[in-house]
Amino acid sequence: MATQNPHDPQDGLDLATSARLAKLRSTPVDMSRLQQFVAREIPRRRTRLMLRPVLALAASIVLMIGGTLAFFAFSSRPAMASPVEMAQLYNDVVSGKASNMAVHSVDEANRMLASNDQAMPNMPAEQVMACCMSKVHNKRVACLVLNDQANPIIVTVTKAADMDMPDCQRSANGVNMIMSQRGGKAICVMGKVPVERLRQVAAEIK
Amino acid sequence: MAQDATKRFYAEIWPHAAMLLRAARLLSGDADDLVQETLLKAFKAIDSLDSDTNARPWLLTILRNTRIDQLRRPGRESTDIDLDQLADDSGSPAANWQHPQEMLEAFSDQQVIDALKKLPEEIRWTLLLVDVQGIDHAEAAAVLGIPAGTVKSRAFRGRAMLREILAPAPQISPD
Repeated sequence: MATQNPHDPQDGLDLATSARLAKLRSTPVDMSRLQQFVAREIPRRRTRLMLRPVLALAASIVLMIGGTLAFFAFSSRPAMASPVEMAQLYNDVVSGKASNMAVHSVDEANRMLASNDQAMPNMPAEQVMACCMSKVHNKRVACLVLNDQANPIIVTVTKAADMDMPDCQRSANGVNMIMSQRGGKAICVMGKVPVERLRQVAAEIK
Repeated sequence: MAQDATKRFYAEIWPHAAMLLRAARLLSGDADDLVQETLLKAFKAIDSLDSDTNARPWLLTILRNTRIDQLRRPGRESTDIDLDQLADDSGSPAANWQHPQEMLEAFSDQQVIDALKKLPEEIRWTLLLVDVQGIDHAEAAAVLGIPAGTVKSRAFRGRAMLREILAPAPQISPD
Protein backbone atom coordinates (compact mmCIF):
# COMPACT_ATOMS: atom_id res chain seq x y z
CA MET A 1 0.00 0.00 0.00
CA ALA A 2 1.37 3.44 -0.93
CA THR A 3 2.15 6.05 1.67
CA GLN A 4 -1.14 7.19 3.13
CA ASN A 5 -2.45 10.60 2.29
CA PRO A 6 -4.59 11.99 5.10
CA HIS A 7 -6.34 14.21 2.58
CA ASP A 8 -7.46 11.26 0.52
CA PRO A 9 -10.89 10.32 1.90
CA GLN A 10 -10.15 6.59 1.94
CA ASP A 11 -6.70 6.99 3.46
CA GLY A 12 -8.02 9.53 5.94
CA LEU A 13 -10.70 7.05 6.97
CA ASP A 14 -8.10 4.33 7.40
CA LEU A 15 -5.89 6.58 9.51
CA ALA A 16 -8.83 7.63 11.67
CA THR A 17 -9.77 4.00 12.26
CA SER A 18 -6.21 3.15 13.21
CA ALA A 19 -6.12 6.10 15.61
CA ARG A 20 -9.40 5.01 17.23
CA LEU A 21 -8.03 1.52 17.78
CA ALA A 22 -4.85 2.95 19.29
CA LYS A 23 -6.95 4.43 22.08
CA LEU A 24 -7.75 0.93 23.28
CA ARG A 25 -4.13 0.83 24.41
CA SER A 26 -4.99 2.69 27.57
CA THR A 27 -8.33 1.24 28.62
CA PRO A 28 -8.29 0.32 32.31
CA VAL A 29 -8.07 -3.34 33.20
CA ASP A 30 -8.68 -5.11 36.49
CA MET A 31 -5.41 -6.78 37.43
CA SER A 32 -6.54 -8.18 40.77
CA ARG A 33 -7.17 -11.77 39.64
CA LEU A 34 -3.94 -11.83 37.70
CA GLN A 35 -2.00 -10.40 40.62
CA GLN A 36 -3.37 -13.04 42.97
CA PHE A 37 -2.57 -15.79 40.49
CA VAL A 38 1.00 -14.63 39.90
CA ALA A 39 1.62 -14.07 43.61
CA ARG A 40 0.52 -17.65 44.24
CA GLU A 41 2.31 -19.33 41.33
CA ILE A 42 5.48 -17.23 41.19
CA PRO A 43 5.96 -15.98 44.72
CA ARG A 44 8.53 -13.36 45.44
CA ARG A 45 10.81 -13.79 48.38
CA ARG A 46 9.75 -11.42 51.15
CA THR A 47 13.17 -10.12 52.03
CA ARG A 48 14.30 -6.70 52.85
CA LEU A 49 15.88 -5.59 49.61
CA MET A 50 17.83 -2.51 48.85
CA LEU A 51 16.11 -0.53 46.19
CA ARG A 52 18.04 -0.95 42.94
CA PRO A 53 17.80 0.96 39.69
CA VAL A 54 14.58 1.23 37.81
CA LEU A 55 14.11 -2.33 36.51
CA ALA A 56 14.54 -3.82 39.97
CA LEU A 57 11.78 -1.66 41.34
CA ALA A 58 9.34 -4.33 40.26
CA ALA A 59 10.46 -6.31 43.30
CA SER A 60 10.87 -3.70 45.91
CA ILE A 61 9.24 -1.16 48.10
CA VAL A 62 10.64 1.54 50.25
CA LEU A 63 10.33 1.69 53.97
CA MET A 64 10.61 5.35 54.58
CA ILE A 65 12.61 6.27 57.58
CA GLY A 66 11.69 9.39 59.46
CA GLY A 67 14.77 11.36 58.60
CA THR A 68 14.15 11.09 54.90
CA LEU A 69 11.14 13.30 55.24
CA ALA A 70 12.77 15.72 57.64
CA PHE A 71 11.91 18.58 55.37
CA PHE A 72 8.31 18.46 56.48
CA ALA A 73 7.61 21.18 58.96
CA PHE A 74 7.67 20.28 62.62
CA SER A 75 4.41 21.76 63.65
CA SER A 76 0.91 20.92 64.65
CA ARG A 77 -0.15 23.02 61.69
CA PRO A 78 -0.30 21.43 58.24
CA ALA A 79 3.10 20.91 56.69
CA MET A 80 3.82 22.54 53.37
CA ALA A 81 5.86 20.33 51.03
CA SER A 82 7.26 22.22 48.08
CA PRO A 83 7.55 20.62 44.60
CA VAL A 84 11.34 20.50 45.07
CA GLU A 85 10.90 18.63 48.34
CA MET A 86 8.40 16.21 46.78
CA ALA A 87 10.81 15.64 43.89
CA GLN A 88 13.53 14.90 46.42
CA LEU A 89 11.21 12.40 48.09
CA TYR A 90 10.65 10.74 44.72
CA ASN A 91 14.38 10.55 44.02
CA ASP A 92 15.10 9.22 47.51
CA VAL A 93 12.60 6.42 46.96
CA VAL A 94 13.88 5.37 43.55
CA SER A 95 17.57 5.76 44.32
CA GLY A 96 17.48 3.17 47.10
CA LYS A 97 18.12 5.22 50.18
CA ALA A 98 15.91 3.04 52.28
CA SER A 99 15.36 -0.65 52.77
CA ASN A 100 12.42 -2.30 51.05
CA MET A 101 9.56 -4.72 51.24
CA ALA A 102 7.42 -5.99 48.42
CA VAL A 103 3.66 -6.10 47.97
CA HIS A 104 1.47 -7.09 45.06
CA SER A 105 -1.65 -5.03 45.66
CA VAL A 106 -3.12 -2.08 47.48
CA ASP A 107 -4.88 -4.47 49.89
CA GLU A 108 -1.58 -6.06 50.75
CA ALA A 109 0.00 -2.64 51.19
CA ASN A 110 -2.73 -1.68 53.62
CA ARG A 111 -2.22 -4.87 55.58
CA MET A 112 1.50 -4.23 55.80
CA LEU A 113 0.88 -0.69 56.90
CA ALA A 114 -1.64 -1.86 59.46
CA SER A 115 -0.59 0.69 61.98
CA ASN A 116 -1.12 3.40 59.43
CA ASP A 117 -4.28 5.32 59.84
CA GLN A 118 -3.84 6.58 56.33
CA ALA A 119 -5.18 3.63 54.40
CA MET A 120 -4.13 3.72 50.79
CA PRO A 121 -6.89 4.88 48.49
CA ASN A 122 -8.61 2.22 46.50
CA MET A 123 -7.27 1.98 42.99
CA PRO A 124 -7.08 -0.70 40.34
CA ALA A 125 -3.30 -0.14 40.24
CA GLU A 126 -1.86 -2.21 37.48
CA GLN A 127 1.66 -2.48 38.70
CA VAL A 128 1.50 -2.14 42.46
CA MET A 129 4.78 -3.36 43.79
CA ALA A 130 5.69 -1.54 46.92
CA CYS A 131 4.55 0.52 49.83
CA CYS A 132 6.22 2.51 52.47
CA MET A 133 5.29 4.35 55.57
CA SER A 134 6.93 7.11 57.46
CA LYS A 135 6.13 9.08 60.50
CA VAL A 136 7.90 12.36 60.55
CA HIS A 137 7.31 14.90 63.19
CA ASN A 138 4.13 13.02 64.00
CA LYS A 139 2.83 13.45 60.48
CA ARG A 140 2.24 10.13 58.75
CA VAL A 141 2.91 9.82 55.02
CA ALA A 142 2.20 6.59 53.23
CA CYS A 143 3.74 5.88 49.81
CA LEU A 144 2.64 3.43 47.14
CA VAL A 145 5.15 2.61 44.42
CA LEU A 146 3.84 1.57 41.03
CA ASN A 147 6.02 0.09 38.33
CA ASP A 148 4.69 1.80 35.23
CA GLN A 149 6.48 0.13 32.35
CA ALA A 150 9.75 0.44 34.29
CA ASN A 151 9.15 4.11 35.10
CA PRO A 152 8.07 4.19 38.73
CA ILE A 153 5.14 6.31 39.77
CA ILE A 154 4.72 7.11 43.44
CA VAL A 155 1.42 7.90 45.12
CA THR A 156 1.74 9.57 48.52
CA VAL A 157 -1.15 9.86 50.92
CA THR A 158 -1.43 11.84 54.10
CA LYS A 159 -4.15 13.48 56.11
CA ALA A 160 -5.28 16.72 54.57
CA ALA A 161 -5.09 18.22 58.04
CA ASP A 162 -1.41 17.28 58.20
CA MET A 163 -0.29 18.37 54.75
CA ASP A 164 -1.18 21.49 52.86
CA MET A 165 -1.52 20.25 49.31
CA PRO A 166 -3.82 22.34 47.10
CA ASP A 167 -5.11 20.91 43.84
CA CYS A 168 -2.39 21.69 41.34
CA GLN A 169 0.09 20.33 38.85
CA ARG A 170 3.76 20.96 39.43
CA SER A 171 7.15 19.91 38.20
CA ALA A 172 10.60 20.01 39.75
CA ASN A 173 13.94 18.46 38.79
CA GLY A 174 12.35 16.37 36.04
CA VAL A 175 9.64 14.97 38.31
CA ASN A 176 6.07 15.80 37.34
CA MET A 177 3.44 15.73 40.05
CA ILE A 178 -0.28 16.14 40.44
CA MET A 179 -1.53 17.10 43.88
CA SER A 180 -5.08 16.98 45.07
CA GLN A 181 -7.24 16.66 48.12
CA ARG A 182 -10.10 14.24 48.31
CA GLY A 183 -11.99 12.57 51.10
CA GLY A 184 -9.90 14.25 53.79
CA LYS A 185 -6.64 13.05 52.25
CA ALA A 186 -3.85 14.93 50.55
CA ILE A 187 -2.69 12.87 47.58
CA CYS A 188 0.28 13.39 45.32
CA VAL A 189 0.91 11.34 42.19
CA MET A 190 4.41 11.84 40.87
CA GLY A 191 6.92 10.42 38.45
CA LYS A 192 9.28 11.07 35.57
CA VAL A 193 6.51 10.34 33.11
CA PRO A 194 4.23 12.63 31.08
CA VAL A 195 1.64 14.50 33.11
CA GLU A 196 -1.08 12.79 31.08
CA ARG A 197 0.02 9.41 32.45
CA LEU A 198 -0.09 10.80 36.00
CA ARG A 199 -3.61 12.06 35.32
CA GLN A 200 -4.63 8.57 34.19
CA VAL A 201 -3.29 7.10 37.44
CA ALA A 202 -4.89 9.86 39.51
CA ALA A 203 -8.22 9.20 37.79
CA GLU A 204 -8.09 5.60 38.96
CA ILE A 205 -7.78 6.57 42.60
CA LYS A 206 -11.02 6.10 44.45
CA MET B 1 18.59 -20.20 39.46
CA ALA B 2 14.92 -20.23 40.31
CA GLN B 3 15.40 -16.99 42.22
CA ASP B 4 17.01 -15.42 39.16
CA ALA B 5 14.08 -16.48 37.03
CA THR B 6 11.66 -15.01 39.53
CA LYS B 7 13.60 -11.76 39.69
CA ARG B 8 13.71 -11.55 35.91
CA PHE B 9 10.02 -12.33 35.68
CA TYR B 10 9.02 -9.44 37.92
CA ALA B 11 11.55 -7.07 36.38
CA GLU B 12 11.10 -7.86 32.69
CA ILE B 13 7.77 -9.63 32.18
CA TRP B 14 5.35 -8.49 34.86
CA PRO B 15 5.46 -4.84 33.70
CA HIS B 16 3.82 -6.03 30.46
CA ALA B 17 1.02 -7.93 32.19
CA ALA B 18 -1.56 -5.16 31.79
CA MET B 19 -0.75 -4.94 28.08
CA LEU B 20 -1.28 -8.69 27.74
CA LEU B 21 -4.59 -8.51 29.59
CA ARG B 22 -5.86 -5.74 27.32
CA ALA B 23 -4.86 -7.78 24.28
CA ALA B 24 -6.47 -10.94 25.66
CA ARG B 25 -9.77 -9.10 26.19
CA LEU B 26 -9.94 -8.69 22.42
CA LEU B 27 -9.34 -12.38 21.85
CA SER B 28 -11.06 -14.45 24.47
CA GLY B 29 -14.07 -14.48 26.73
CA ASP B 30 -11.79 -15.52 29.59
CA ALA B 31 -8.93 -13.09 29.22
CA ASP B 32 -7.55 -13.78 32.69
CA ASP B 33 -7.25 -17.50 31.97
CA LEU B 34 -5.42 -16.82 28.69
CA VAL B 35 -2.97 -14.42 30.29
CA GLN B 36 -2.36 -16.66 33.29
CA GLU B 37 -1.32 -19.48 30.97
CA THR B 38 0.79 -17.07 28.95
CA LEU B 39 2.63 -15.73 31.98
CA LEU B 40 3.37 -19.21 33.28
CA LYS B 41 4.78 -20.22 29.91
CA ALA B 42 6.82 -17.04 29.79
CA PHE B 43 8.20 -17.74 33.25
CA LYS B 44 9.22 -21.27 32.27
CA ALA B 45 10.83 -20.02 29.05
CA ILE B 46 12.46 -16.94 30.50
CA ASP B 47 15.97 -18.24 29.82
CA SER B 48 15.21 -17.90 26.11
CA LEU B 49 14.60 -14.16 26.50
CA ASP B 50 17.74 -12.08 26.11
CA SER B 51 17.90 -9.22 28.57
CA ASP B 52 18.54 -6.87 25.65
CA THR B 53 15.49 -8.06 23.77
CA ASN B 54 12.22 -6.16 23.90
CA ALA B 55 9.97 -8.51 25.87
CA ARG B 56 6.75 -7.21 24.33
CA PRO B 57 6.81 -9.02 20.95
CA TRP B 58 8.23 -12.11 22.67
CA LEU B 59 5.29 -12.13 25.09
CA LEU B 60 2.76 -11.47 22.33
CA THR B 61 4.12 -14.48 20.45
CA ILE B 62 3.61 -16.63 23.54
CA LEU B 63 0.11 -15.18 23.95
CA ARG B 64 -0.68 -16.06 20.36
CA ASN B 65 0.65 -19.61 20.66
CA THR B 66 -1.29 -20.08 23.90
CA ARG B 67 -4.43 -18.85 22.20
CA ILE B 68 -3.88 -21.25 19.28
CA ASP B 69 -3.47 -24.12 21.75
CA GLN B 70 -6.69 -23.12 23.48
CA LEU B 71 -8.60 -23.09 20.19
CA ARG B 72 -7.28 -26.53 19.29
CA ARG B 73 -8.51 -28.13 22.48
CA PRO B 74 -11.33 -30.65 22.12
CA GLY B 75 -14.72 -29.10 22.39
CA ARG B 76 -13.56 -25.74 21.12
CA GLU B 77 -15.11 -25.18 17.72
CA SER B 78 -13.32 -22.69 15.59
CA THR B 79 -15.69 -20.14 14.17
CA ASP B 80 -12.95 -18.58 12.17
CA ILE B 81 -13.28 -17.85 8.50
CA ASP B 82 -10.81 -18.73 5.79
CA LEU B 83 -9.38 -15.33 4.91
CA ASP B 84 -8.79 -16.32 1.33
CA GLN B 85 -12.52 -16.89 0.96
CA LEU B 86 -13.40 -13.44 2.17
CA ALA B 87 -14.56 -11.16 -0.59
CA ASP B 88 -12.25 -8.25 -1.14
CA ASP B 89 -14.58 -5.77 0.45
CA SER B 90 -13.57 -2.24 1.18
CA GLY B 91 -16.48 -1.92 3.54
CA SER B 92 -18.50 1.23 3.82
CA PRO B 93 -17.43 3.75 1.19
CA ALA B 94 -15.65 6.85 2.43
CA ALA B 95 -18.65 8.94 1.47
CA ASN B 96 -20.63 7.34 4.35
CA TRP B 97 -18.06 8.63 6.82
CA GLN B 98 -18.25 12.36 6.44
CA HIS B 99 -16.37 13.12 9.64
CA PRO B 100 -14.56 9.88 10.36
CA GLN B 101 -12.68 10.97 13.45
CA GLU B 102 -15.77 12.34 15.20
CA MET B 103 -17.86 9.37 14.11
CA LEU B 104 -15.33 6.86 15.39
CA GLU B 105 -14.89 8.74 18.65
CA ALA B 106 -18.64 8.47 19.22
CA PHE B 107 -18.31 4.71 19.73
CA SER B 108 -17.39 3.63 23.24
CA ASP B 109 -14.36 1.44 23.86
CA GLN B 110 -16.67 -1.48 24.61
CA GLN B 111 -18.49 -1.01 21.30
CA VAL B 112 -15.18 -1.03 19.45
CA ILE B 113 -14.04 -4.12 21.38
CA ASP B 114 -17.32 -5.91 20.63
CA ALA B 115 -16.92 -5.07 16.95
CA LEU B 116 -13.33 -6.33 16.97
CA LYS B 117 -14.48 -9.63 18.44
CA LYS B 118 -16.71 -10.16 15.42
CA LEU B 119 -13.75 -10.08 13.06
CA PRO B 120 -11.97 -13.24 11.96
CA GLU B 121 -9.26 -14.21 14.44
CA GLU B 122 -6.33 -13.47 12.12
CA ILE B 123 -7.69 -10.06 11.15
CA ARG B 124 -8.28 -9.31 14.82
CA TRP B 125 -4.70 -10.28 15.64
CA THR B 126 -3.40 -8.00 12.91
CA LEU B 127 -5.32 -4.97 14.18
CA LEU B 128 -4.41 -5.85 17.76
CA LEU B 129 -0.69 -5.81 16.97
CA VAL B 130 -0.51 -3.00 14.41
CA ASP B 131 -3.12 -0.56 15.69
CA VAL B 132 -3.87 -1.35 19.33
CA GLN B 133 -0.30 -2.22 20.29
CA GLY B 134 1.36 0.09 17.75
CA ILE B 135 3.86 -2.54 16.65
CA ASP B 136 5.51 -1.98 13.27
CA HIS B 137 4.60 -4.23 10.36
CA ALA B 138 7.88 -6.14 10.41
CA GLU B 139 7.58 -7.02 14.08
CA ALA B 140 3.89 -7.90 13.71
CA ALA B 141 4.81 -10.14 10.78
CA ALA B 142 7.30 -11.97 12.99
CA VAL B 143 4.67 -12.55 15.67
CA LEU B 144 2.07 -13.75 13.16
CA GLY B 145 4.45 -15.73 10.98
CA ILE B 146 3.37 -14.01 7.76
CA PRO B 147 5.03 -11.56 5.33
CA ALA B 148 5.00 -7.87 6.23
CA GLY B 149 3.06 -7.11 3.06
CA THR B 150 0.29 -9.42 4.19
CA VAL B 151 0.18 -7.62 7.52
CA LYS B 152 -0.39 -4.31 5.72
CA SER B 153 -3.15 -5.63 3.50
CA ARG B 154 -4.89 -7.43 6.37
CA ALA B 155 -4.73 -4.31 8.49
CA PHE B 156 -6.35 -2.27 5.73
CA ARG B 157 -9.08 -4.85 5.17
CA GLY B 158 -9.58 -5.31 8.88
CA ARG B 159 -10.15 -1.60 9.49
CA ALA B 160 -12.70 -1.53 6.68
CA MET B 161 -14.47 -4.58 8.10
CA LEU B 162 -14.47 -2.98 11.53
CA ARG B 163 -16.12 0.15 10.18
CA GLU B 164 -18.73 -1.94 8.45
CA ILE B 165 -19.58 -3.64 11.73
CA LEU B 166 -19.71 -0.37 13.64
CA ALA B 167 -21.75 1.50 11.03
CA PRO B 168 -23.09 -0.78 8.33
CA ALA B 169 -23.62 0.80 4.93
CA PRO B 170 -27.30 1.35 4.24
CA GLN B 171 -28.80 -1.37 2.06
CA ILE B 172 -29.92 -0.05 -1.33
CA SER B 173 -33.35 -1.27 -2.35
CA PRO B 174 -33.43 -3.03 -5.74
CA ASP B 175 -36.54 -1.02 -6.70
